[in-house]
Amino acid sequence: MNKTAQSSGDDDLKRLKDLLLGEESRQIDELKQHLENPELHAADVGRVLHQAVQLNQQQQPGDLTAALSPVVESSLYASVRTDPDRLGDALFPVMAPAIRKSITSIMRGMMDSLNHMLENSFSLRGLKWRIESLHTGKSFAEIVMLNTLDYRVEQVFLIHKADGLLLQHVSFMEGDTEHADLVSGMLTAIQDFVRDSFQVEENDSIEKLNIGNMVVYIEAGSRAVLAAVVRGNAPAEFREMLQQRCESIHKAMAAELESFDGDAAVFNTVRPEMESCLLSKTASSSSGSNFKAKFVIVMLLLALLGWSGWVWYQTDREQVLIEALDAIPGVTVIRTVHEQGALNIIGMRDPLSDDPDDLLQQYGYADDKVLLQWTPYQSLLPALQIRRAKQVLKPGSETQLELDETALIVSGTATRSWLDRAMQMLPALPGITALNSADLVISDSSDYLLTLAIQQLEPPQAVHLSISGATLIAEGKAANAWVKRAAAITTLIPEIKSYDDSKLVDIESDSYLLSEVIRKLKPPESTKVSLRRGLVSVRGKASSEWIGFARKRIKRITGITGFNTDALMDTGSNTYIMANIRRELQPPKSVSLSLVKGALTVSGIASARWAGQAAAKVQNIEGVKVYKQQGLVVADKALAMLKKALNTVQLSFAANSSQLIDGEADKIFKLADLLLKHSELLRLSKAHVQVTGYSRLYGGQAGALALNRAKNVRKKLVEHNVPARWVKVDGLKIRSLDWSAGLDLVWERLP
Amino acid sequence: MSRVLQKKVCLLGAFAVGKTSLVSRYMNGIFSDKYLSTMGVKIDRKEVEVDDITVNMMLWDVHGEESVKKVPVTYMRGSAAYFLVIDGTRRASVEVARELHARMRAETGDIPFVVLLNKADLKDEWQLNDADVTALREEGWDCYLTSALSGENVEAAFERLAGQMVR
Repeated sequence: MNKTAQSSGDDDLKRLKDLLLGEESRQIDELKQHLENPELHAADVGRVLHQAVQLNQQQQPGDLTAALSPVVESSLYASVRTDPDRLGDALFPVMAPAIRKSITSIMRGMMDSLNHMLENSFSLRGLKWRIESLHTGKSFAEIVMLNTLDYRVEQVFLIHKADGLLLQHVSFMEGDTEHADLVSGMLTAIQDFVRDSFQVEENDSIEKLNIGNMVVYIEAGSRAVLAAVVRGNAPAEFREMLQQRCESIHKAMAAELESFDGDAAVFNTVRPEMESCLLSKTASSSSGSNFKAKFVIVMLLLALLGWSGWVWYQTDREQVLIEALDAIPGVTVIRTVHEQGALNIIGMRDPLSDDPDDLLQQYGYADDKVLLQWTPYQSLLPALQIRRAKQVLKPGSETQLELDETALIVSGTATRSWLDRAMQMLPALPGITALNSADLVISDSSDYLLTLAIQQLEPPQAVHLSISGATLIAEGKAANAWVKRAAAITTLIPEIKSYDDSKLVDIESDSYLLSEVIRKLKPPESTKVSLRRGLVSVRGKASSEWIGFARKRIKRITGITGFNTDALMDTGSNTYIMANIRRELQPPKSVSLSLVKGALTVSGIASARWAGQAAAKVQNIEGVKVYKQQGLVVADKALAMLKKALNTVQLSFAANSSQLIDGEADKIFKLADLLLKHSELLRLSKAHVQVTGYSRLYGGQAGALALNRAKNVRKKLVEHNVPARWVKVDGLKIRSLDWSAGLDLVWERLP
Repeated sequence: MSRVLQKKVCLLGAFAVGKTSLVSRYMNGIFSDKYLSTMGVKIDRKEVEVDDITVNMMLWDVHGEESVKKVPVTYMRGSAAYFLVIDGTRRASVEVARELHARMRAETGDIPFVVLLNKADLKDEWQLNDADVTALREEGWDCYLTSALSGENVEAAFERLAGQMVR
């Protein structure tokens, strides 16, 4: 009963609780559920977490960071371990520009320093500076800096980064300071302009402005910018120096830079530091560009390229050589070894193969670069067998050797003795078992020799060749050129030991031609024919007929170039006949002869005896067909006629006077005319007129009268052109009745 | 010994409001107007004495704002004060000034500024009336009616801004 009462009491209490605290109790349950259920609890915390973090940061700054650091670190570690790409991707936008900038800076620095190092190290000057550095204890860079300042730092600006205001300015020249603040502003504007225009990172800035030979170096720090205006080429170290100055200014003036309000006076303290940047020096020239560095890098690349090309080329070249060596008949390359920089080629070689050393030359290998080691052997390659056969048998150049499997085929020409010997030597040739000489011509057989001679000499039809033993005999007639050629060619044919051309007539020789001329012209005995170099000369005498015949005939004789008859007397010619006539007739000077077409005409004056002899003799003279002597004056007859004419004349004178009586003078004149008419006859016969005067007087005067009368006659004759020497006078005392003077003609005996 | 203070001052305004005329007539500069068209900015100096302080105003004459060519924020950055130049003959230039004013505020915070209502010499052509000017002043805009031609109020405006910067 108690138990029932108690349970009913609990139920009541429970109902009361429900009535009084039902709502709260449900809320407590809900809260309990929220606290106990992790999902609900997490959702509750998530809702307030960011606020909690913010509050924590405000109230206890640093605590949360400290608490989270190990968790974040291990989370990152775990993340990287499981998937490095994820974090890499996340960090990429941050890291990449930083890394890029860093690499660019390092590369540029490296390029500059390489360039500089090259410039200074590869020169005598560089060595000098090294020594100077050792001596003075200063760093090499410092020495280089001091020596290579071929530039001038003209102005240095310290610019407040945020607003571009000028903090401090130092200048090489006094006047430059006036507009420094404007320049400073503009420089900042330019930086801004470039940054805006080319979309570069926020912290990137112009580091260098190049204008002609002017360079503005800009070294940007966190709060201030140090800009240096440099004329000329500053060394790479200058940039470093500027960087150091910028850093030290930042360090020294950190607070002032932070709280800068426009009053630049506080920055006067950094003037000395800035002024130390105002370096200037005129020194020996240096290129200033990194051309040299680029050049060296390019050269190194080229060298590398060249070297690898060279290695490839060498390997290829060696392979080509080995293949070429192996391709030589009788040479077999077994292996190749590189030893002490030389290529050793080891193999076997038939001593009769082509010399491999030639190939080395051809492929441009020096002897010390390639060593050839050959083991000798006998190759059974046909080419080598032929070579061996040639070495053993020693065939002449006209003998060809070929190989048909194991038979040696001999063709061309060879001597009987060579063939006999070859047959004997055959067993000495390995791999050759038979000799076939079916196509071989035996060069010392007479048929072969004759064929060879005919083939070589090509004799004309008129020549007959024959062989006697090893002698070639030529007979017949041939032109001189062939005769000579045959003699020359014969000596070149070794099989023909001698050549006999004694029975061969050279149809162009003088002796042969002369005999031909005599045979064909049949010259008369009175002539003598000679021949010299084709020119026929005939001397002596010959008839016109023969001469005419010879002239025509000679042209038909080959080898005759001319016919000379200058020394030949033509027996049919007038000259010849006339000479004969003169010799035979012996005409006196007063006789002239003329011969026209065999008709001899004689004119002039001659004695009757000569005229008679001539008429007789002329009958026997060859060539004289007709004899005419109508024109010949026979002197004896003419003189006798004259004498008669003179004798008939008797002249009468006046008594006792030498004066002629009338009419008598005419007789004298007629006589004078007659005499003059025959003057030539009188001259030739040396005739003269004898005038004899007479007188009938007595006493001493008679003789004188007679002479005067004769003289008077002579005088009359002379008056009529009769030469005085023709007239001789005489006076006689002889009485005469009718006349007193008489005339007579007296002459000498004619020849 | 008087103190010298340098201050970056921006000269902002719509295109063709007469900024450059103000600058070229009343300030010391070494750069030609060419810089404006190329780089969009030209820097000049204006010295103003305030009590015993010499204020060197480094005036960034920024290329006139146009719809296609905005004034770069980088040029505004670091300014200690600024001028807003309005062309009294063009009502549109007021809106441009407002926009520039907003951008300047966003970049530099609450810094002194003076409004130049320029082209006061062309009063007849003005599109702005006295009510407009009063409205601007009521907005807290410190307005000066200036003329680059006559020089009216130019010096006063500069002195005003310099004074605001120093105090």
